[in-house]
Amino acid sequence: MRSNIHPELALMSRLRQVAFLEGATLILLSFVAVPLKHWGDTPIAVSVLGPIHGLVFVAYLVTLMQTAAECRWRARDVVLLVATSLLPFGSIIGSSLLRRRVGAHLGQKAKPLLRWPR
Amino acid sequence: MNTLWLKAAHVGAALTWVAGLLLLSIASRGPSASEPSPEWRRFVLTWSRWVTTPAMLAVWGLGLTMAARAHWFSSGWLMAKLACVLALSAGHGYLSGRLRRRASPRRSTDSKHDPDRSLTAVSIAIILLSFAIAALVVVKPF
Repeated sequence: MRSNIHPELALMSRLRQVAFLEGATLILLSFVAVPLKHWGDTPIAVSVLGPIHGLVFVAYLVTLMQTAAECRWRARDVVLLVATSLLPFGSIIGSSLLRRRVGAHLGQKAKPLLRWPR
Repeated sequence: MNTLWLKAAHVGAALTWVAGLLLLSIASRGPSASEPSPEWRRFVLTWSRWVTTPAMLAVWGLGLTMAARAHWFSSGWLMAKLACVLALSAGHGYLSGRLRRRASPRRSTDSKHDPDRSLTAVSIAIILLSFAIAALVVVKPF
């Protein structure tokens, strides 16, 4: 049973890593490089981080489609994950969704990303 | 590197990539009388890992370098081309995921009833996108 789910879990784990990188480069681009360009008159950060984020986004898209096709995800989930990757801090929602997916794959109740104090 | 050499390397990588994508879509087909054998599918997956995926990376790397050198990022045709190449990259991921599923002996049985219509649609989309990219680059309509 464990060997049956292992390749899909490995794919999802790789997707989470790429999603983290994508989110981190988008936050750096939006909140460091772009303000530096417009208010600090330093465009070098955008010209360095822009292409890096672009390539990481392509890697994220390819990994997402590969994982979705291999794990037979619904199109709605793929659209949601692409949409969250376009927003700064959207990767937090994407990460939560992926965590739920892993939980569902293991046949366990998915753990929420955030817990409200009781 | 000379711009012409960059362009030649970019076109060569693009041809290799699109050929690899069509190979992936053919190898993902089945089940039918002409269904590819598991050995053939494994070969195509290996080809994808060592040839098609590096060709995609080369296309992106060389293309972005050329666009930055020529200051093309403000051109409409380049934005349209980037959208087409992004769609091709997504198709690459989808096809390799499908083939990995089909090539896996454990999981190939539950995909026996997957329709091949989506694969045909993806193959046609790959060809149409390739034509669109060629037209955008050569004609530069906007």
